[in-house]
Amino acid sequence: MPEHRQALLGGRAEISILTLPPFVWLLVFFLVPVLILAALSFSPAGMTVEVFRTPSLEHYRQSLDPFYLGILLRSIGYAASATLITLLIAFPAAYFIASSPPRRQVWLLFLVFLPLWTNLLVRLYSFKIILGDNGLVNQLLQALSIVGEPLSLIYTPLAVVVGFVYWNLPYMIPPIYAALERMNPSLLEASMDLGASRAQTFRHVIVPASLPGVTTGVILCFVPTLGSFIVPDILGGPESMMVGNVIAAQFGQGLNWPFGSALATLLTLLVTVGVTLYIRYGEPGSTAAREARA
Amino acid sequence: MLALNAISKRYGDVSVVEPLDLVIDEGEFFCILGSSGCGKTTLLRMIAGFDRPTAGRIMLDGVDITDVPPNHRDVNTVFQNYALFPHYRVYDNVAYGLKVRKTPEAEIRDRVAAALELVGLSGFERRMPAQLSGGQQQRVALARALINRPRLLLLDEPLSALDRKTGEQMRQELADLQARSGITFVFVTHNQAEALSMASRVAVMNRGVFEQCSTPFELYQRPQTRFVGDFVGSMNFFQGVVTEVSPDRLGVEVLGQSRIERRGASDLAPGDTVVFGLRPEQLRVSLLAPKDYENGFFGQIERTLFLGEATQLSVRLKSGERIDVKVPNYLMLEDKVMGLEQNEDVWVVWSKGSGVVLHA
Repeated sequence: MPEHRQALLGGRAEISILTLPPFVWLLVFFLVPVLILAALSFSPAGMTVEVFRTPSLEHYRQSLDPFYLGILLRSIGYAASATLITLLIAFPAAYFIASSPPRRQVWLLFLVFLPLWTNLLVRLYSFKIILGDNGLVNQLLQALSIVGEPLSLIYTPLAVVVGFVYWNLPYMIPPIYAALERMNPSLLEASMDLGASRAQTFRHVIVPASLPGVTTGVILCFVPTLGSFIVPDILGGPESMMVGNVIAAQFGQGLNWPFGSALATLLTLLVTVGVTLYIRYGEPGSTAAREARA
Repeated sequence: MLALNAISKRYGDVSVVEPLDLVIDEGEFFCILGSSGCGKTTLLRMIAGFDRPTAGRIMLDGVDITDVPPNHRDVNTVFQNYALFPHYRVYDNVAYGLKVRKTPEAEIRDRVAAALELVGLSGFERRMPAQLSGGQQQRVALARALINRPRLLLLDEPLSALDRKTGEQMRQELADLQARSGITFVFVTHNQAEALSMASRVAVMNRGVFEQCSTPFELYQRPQTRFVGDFVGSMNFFQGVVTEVSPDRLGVEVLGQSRIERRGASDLAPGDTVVFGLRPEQLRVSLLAPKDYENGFFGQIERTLFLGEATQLSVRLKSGERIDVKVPNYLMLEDKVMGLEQNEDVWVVWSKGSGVVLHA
């Protein structure tokens, strides 16, 4: 921290006092439970002190079973495709908002956040009405004679991905909007002035300016989606089960907490490593790319 | 080379640029001078292609480019805030115009090196814009525009964000750069010193119209309107009446007490009301009454203002009017101009050839 900032905030001791409450909060309600979970994953059976006497890797061995690996891969596939589709929808929306007059921007952002006022569970149930066999989509398609028989949309991987995209949009649009809104609009004129077409201006000026927002949005969408169990639970069928469902089942009906803990620990490690690599190497605005340029 | 034919711009009921005509010749350093809101930037943006004129045509080399988008105009712009691409290095910023036109890589390398050398920034290729000073960013913006060898380079107040010393240094460099490259420059500024020192011709713009368009010398020495006289430099104005008109003499009576004679033919007739303008540096103060080749007013020193290279005296005339006189400071004794004190009675004197007579 630069010296003047430190002087502004007070001495080192004062900063420590101010940061103590959040630190304690995270310690008690985040770090401790994660550590308990990690310890539990080595327990031979149940929640016992046995874990310290005879730690077991049995649950990790079980996690690597092809059946569970398949579910993990499917979860990554769902999360990746949902994130990509969300990005493709969110980018034009964010661009539209950022290029609107300032007063309208406030209202458009308000609309983006509006769905968050209602519980996710309620909103997901509404998708049953929209995607069901006699739902809005099927009625519309039949009325327009595009299909004869209703399509089975609900309880399919498609429904799960649609649900994820819907869920993620309010988390993807704002960071991209913020990045585009910060961009100096005369950069667009400079690009055109130098002979670039609209497409070239988009690629060489707008996309690079949006990248910090895209990175944030992708992480904000991909990580919760990967661990989600509500969306596949409500909109998916048996074949669209995700790793989150498996973990939830171990803590619920399965009552196999050590196995659930092992899966959860693996997932946490995977996400941590993945996000770190993405931020460092994943895109042109990354730390590595910046260092290479400097 | 560039011709504007009755070009105008309106936003709803608000007229920003009144219909105006302008012809700029090949190799000119043309300056549009005006205060903020006078329409000068809008005019520049219409030439660049960012704004569409409400009416009128823009011709470049005899071709109508009014409807040609900016990326297809042989015109480049240096923006007021430079508008360098923050995510690109200096090299990629300068190379941008060539890259989007799919120029071969080897040619790009040579031309970027040449462009950076032209603006004195060789060796800065790998810097990011944020690592450069304002003056350096300015040079990158120049190189980025000049590398495309445009027919016309537009500069929108490019020096106004620089500190005074750097700005003055850049004036010299811009003039040199223009002379060496031979590219026609159109330069927009609110700074009269920039306009007078660099331009081959200056157009003074006020409320969407050109008040006067002439060489810097003409502009300063023979302003055609009261606005120009006041905006470029400063000027004392008086009401006057024409007393005598002959081919080589113009007599004007000012303040009922002095007969002012001035050379110059004009369309004036005896009895016409006119405005008589005198620049503060055309005047001097004296304890002696004016000689017969001079005119003078009698008054009292009301206020003195130290300007560094000169001192400005405000003299209140017997008639109640105030007149500003600028005295070079080599005439100072101690810290007084010619030893003069405040409230002292003096003559304000000028030669009969000085001053301009303007239509009222």
